[in-house]
Amino acid sequence: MEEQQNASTDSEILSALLDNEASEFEVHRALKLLDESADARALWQRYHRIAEGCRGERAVVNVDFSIDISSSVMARLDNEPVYDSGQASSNPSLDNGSAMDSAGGAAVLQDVKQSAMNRFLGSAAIAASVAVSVVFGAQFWGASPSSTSFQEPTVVNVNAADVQAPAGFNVPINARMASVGAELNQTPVNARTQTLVQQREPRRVIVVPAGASQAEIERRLNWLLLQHAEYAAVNGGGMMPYARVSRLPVQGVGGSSED
Amino acid sequence: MVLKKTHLSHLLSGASDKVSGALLQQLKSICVVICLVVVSVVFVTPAYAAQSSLTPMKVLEQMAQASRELSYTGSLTYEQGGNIETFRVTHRVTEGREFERLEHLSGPKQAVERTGRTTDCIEPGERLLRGLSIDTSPAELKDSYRLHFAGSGRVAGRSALELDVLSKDQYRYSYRLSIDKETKLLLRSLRLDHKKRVVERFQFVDLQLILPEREKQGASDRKLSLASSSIEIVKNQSYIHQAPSKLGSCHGEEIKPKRWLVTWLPQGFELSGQRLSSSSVFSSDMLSFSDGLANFSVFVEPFKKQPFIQGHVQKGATAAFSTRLNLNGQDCVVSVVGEISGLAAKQIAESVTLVQ
Repeated sequence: MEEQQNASTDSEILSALLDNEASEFEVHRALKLLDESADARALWQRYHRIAEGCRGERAVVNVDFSIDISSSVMARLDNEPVYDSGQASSNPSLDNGSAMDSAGGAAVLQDVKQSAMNRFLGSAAIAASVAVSVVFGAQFWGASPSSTSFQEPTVVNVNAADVQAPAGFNVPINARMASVGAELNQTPVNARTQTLVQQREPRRVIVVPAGASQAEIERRLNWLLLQHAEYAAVNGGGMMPYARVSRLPVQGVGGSSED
Repeated sequence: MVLKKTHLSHLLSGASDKVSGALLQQLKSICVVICLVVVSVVFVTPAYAAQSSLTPMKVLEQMAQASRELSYTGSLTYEQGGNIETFRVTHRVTEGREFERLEHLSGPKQAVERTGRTTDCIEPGERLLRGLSIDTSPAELKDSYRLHFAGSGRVAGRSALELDVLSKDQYRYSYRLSIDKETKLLLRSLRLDHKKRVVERFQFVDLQLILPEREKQGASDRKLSLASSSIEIVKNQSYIHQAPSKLGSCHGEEIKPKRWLVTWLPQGFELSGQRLSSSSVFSSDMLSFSDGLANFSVFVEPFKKQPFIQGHVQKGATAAFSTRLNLNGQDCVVSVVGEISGLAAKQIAESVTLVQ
């Protein structure tokens, strides 16, 4: 019973560590646990797999669970010769004091160079991956805000045509999908591809009736925006809602006249 | 052996003296700490209570009131979809009547003016924002949003209180409001979608209060015109759009659906007005709704080959959704326009029916 309780607190600590919510004390305890207990290590791996599954980083099914790189990493670390600055500075004194084989010294120097090169390549790789993620992130965040996904609008009428979206408006992906066709709607695409698709596609909308001109569409949208702003400005918005109407119906600008 | 014993007892008593001395010392320090805690609780609690009584709801109420009742002028930016537009806003109250003006400082020369609204009349949207109860429904801002303070900030050279208003669903936006600590005027407003992306930003660049006594002397007028002498101000009446001021329940509008019924509404939205909107080109029945912060309007009109966009388009925070529906044998175009999500706009549009 007590053991069971212990196990559950161990798992809680590991879970907290995974979620980055562990206290300093818990971090120490978790590290000790992972060092000492094979069960804890197995649990730790299982938690990671679950987390990866949840984040959609890899499919939870069809994964070879036998892969454990930790042991091979540890083995490599054990075999790795230690080069620290202290040793590097002590090398010349060794050279001077003892009868050091010059060929051996060159080998050590070569090794040091190699490891420096490796280190440089490593940090370059990290820098490159950060750059790549920045580019991806910029593309992702820079995209125009789209609404949450919803189904294709109910098309009552077939007398419709798709034309360029009015100036200043963007078209959320699903609205445009309707014009592209149903097959695109059926393929599951994740959020990132949706955003990228949205950027590449021309901004087109379905207009009814088919012969409607761009100017007519824009005039109507602007009229709706103005009517809406008039009410919003009465209901606690002050004059701010009018800022959203880019074209006011004034003679000087040439909008439609209003009552 | 005996000597040793007495020595031992001396030693022990000495030790116990030392122990009791240490204990006393510790007790003393504990007492001091307790006294400090008691004193701080006694003296600090009222101050803390006074501060904590300023709830987010109270601040929103003060904000709504300040924007209606104070006289001020300032420049502000409106940012949306990578575009920034600049405006000059003026709000003046004389003898309980408002004069408001929003002037474009960039793009085509144009301005909106509204005069004659009275500060004592509160419309449903503002009533919701100010937490005043509406008899007909128990809707409250707190049902739709989570409110909490988010520290202090500085906007337009003034120190501001930051307030987070977080939407509880995906039908409306969340807000980060920066409210002037001194006047409670709204200095900055960010609207965020459910992924916390800013879809719209209003922000004052500078703000000047027009004090009532100076207003009487007309001194502020002169000062203001001096201050803005370098700015080309719209004076020509043909560039000014006169906004209707006699809208809403304060002006005898009946807040009860007459012809059309919206059968699905996101929680917290109230009907805030309805009318027949018409111009020389367009004519439509219109219903307007508010949850206190967000507004949307529903337009219903018979389909007479008038052009419209089938589906959803978006401009900043404003979603516009139109569809053709068969309402009791009548071919209608239903449009929803407002600062709500596209999902909400679609669901609202498709829920419109005829009042039986």
